[in-house]
Amino acid sequence: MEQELISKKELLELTGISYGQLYRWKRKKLIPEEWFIRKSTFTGQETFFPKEKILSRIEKIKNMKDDLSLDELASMFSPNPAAITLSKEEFTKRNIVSLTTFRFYIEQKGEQGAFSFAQLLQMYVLEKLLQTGDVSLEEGKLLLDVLENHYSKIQGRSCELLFIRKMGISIWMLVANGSDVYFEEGVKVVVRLHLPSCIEELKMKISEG
Amino acid sequence: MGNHHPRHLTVNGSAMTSGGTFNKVKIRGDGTINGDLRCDQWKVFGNADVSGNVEAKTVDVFGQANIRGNAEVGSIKIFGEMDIHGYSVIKDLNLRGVVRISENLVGGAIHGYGEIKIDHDCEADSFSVKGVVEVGKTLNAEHIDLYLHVADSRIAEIGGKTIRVTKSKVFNVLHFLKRLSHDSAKLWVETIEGDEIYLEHTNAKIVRGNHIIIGPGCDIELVEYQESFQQDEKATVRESKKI
Repeated sequence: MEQELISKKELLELTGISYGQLYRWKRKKLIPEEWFIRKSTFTGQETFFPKEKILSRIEKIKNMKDDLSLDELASMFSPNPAAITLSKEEFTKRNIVSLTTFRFYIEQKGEQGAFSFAQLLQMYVLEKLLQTGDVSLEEGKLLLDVLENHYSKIQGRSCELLFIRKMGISIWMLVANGSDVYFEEGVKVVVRLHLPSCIEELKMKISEG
Repeated sequence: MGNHHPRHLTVNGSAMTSGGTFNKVKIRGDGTINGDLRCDQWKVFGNADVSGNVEAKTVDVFGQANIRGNAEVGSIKIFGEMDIHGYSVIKDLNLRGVVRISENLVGGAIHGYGEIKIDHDCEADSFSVKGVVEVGKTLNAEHIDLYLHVADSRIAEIGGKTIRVTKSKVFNVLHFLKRLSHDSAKLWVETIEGDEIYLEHTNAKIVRGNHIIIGPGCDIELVEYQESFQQDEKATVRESKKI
């Protein structure tokens, strides 16, 4: 997946932040290490960023930095699961996922009084994918299993969720650290989802209430 | 920790022991610890070698210490030599000798004099060191103060809010490290980026910032500044651009 890049210089010009701020936010883990992409140019080494991601992140930091401390911001952006559990009532009230997804989850995993962040994430991802129409309910079941069984092993690291199909057979994959993956011919990549950004969205949703 | 672990570990002479959780650990002589060491206070008078990770509130090294794993330490004083092979998180590092870290260093305040060598990144709130600094990748700190002394310093990339590189004017503090004439100490760096930058005796490819002052002895290929730029007459700047 090619993404548009922006150089550090352009970024500072566009957003009006200073080098000091950029380095501070990097230090505080508000901007993930893997967004700093080093490339050689004719002036030597230059640092580039994925344009859309960094611009929206900096916008968020600028908007929220007056209300939250840098550490609070960092935990919101970090790929680590937040230490929260929501009770069933709270959860349905906040409208984080649709009732259909919620019922489906309960059907699969059984009735529960409260939900951990990992479970919320499973539902959130499922909801997101069901809404795109790319994934059927049957495949959704498998997704929940994949996330339940394997997500704890790579949490805290950047990872991608992949869903591929070939000749009617579908496979879910969790790929850690955004490595490159290549497929044989005829494989259709149906879903490619960056989980840390889902976690971030979910954390925002939860904190907004 | 604290009162929950009243157990102490003391090595007098030469001993090999296994790690564990302790309150105070003292090594006088030669101590080899197999496994992880967790304690409130760790003092080394002599030689210590830990094969695993170290987690401690305070560490004092008078002599030599070697950690083969990661280190997570509140405050550490090094009068002598220390090697850390793993990832290091140190809130306060007080340097009076040599420290070498083969991984990243994440720190709060790093200060003192001597030699500090970090193979990967170094991140800190403040970094103020007199002597020799080597960082394999990026040195990133809010305030960076380098006093060049004794020998050349090498850093791939420096970033921060205020960055000051000066030549140390005190000549007698580092006599135990003195190998070269103090006149030759220079900083070699690829890029420096910060809000306020003051440099002396620095060789850099690119310096970018808001307010930049290039002092004596510098050789800079390109300066890009936003607000102000000054250059000493004893400095070479090939090109400067206002952005």
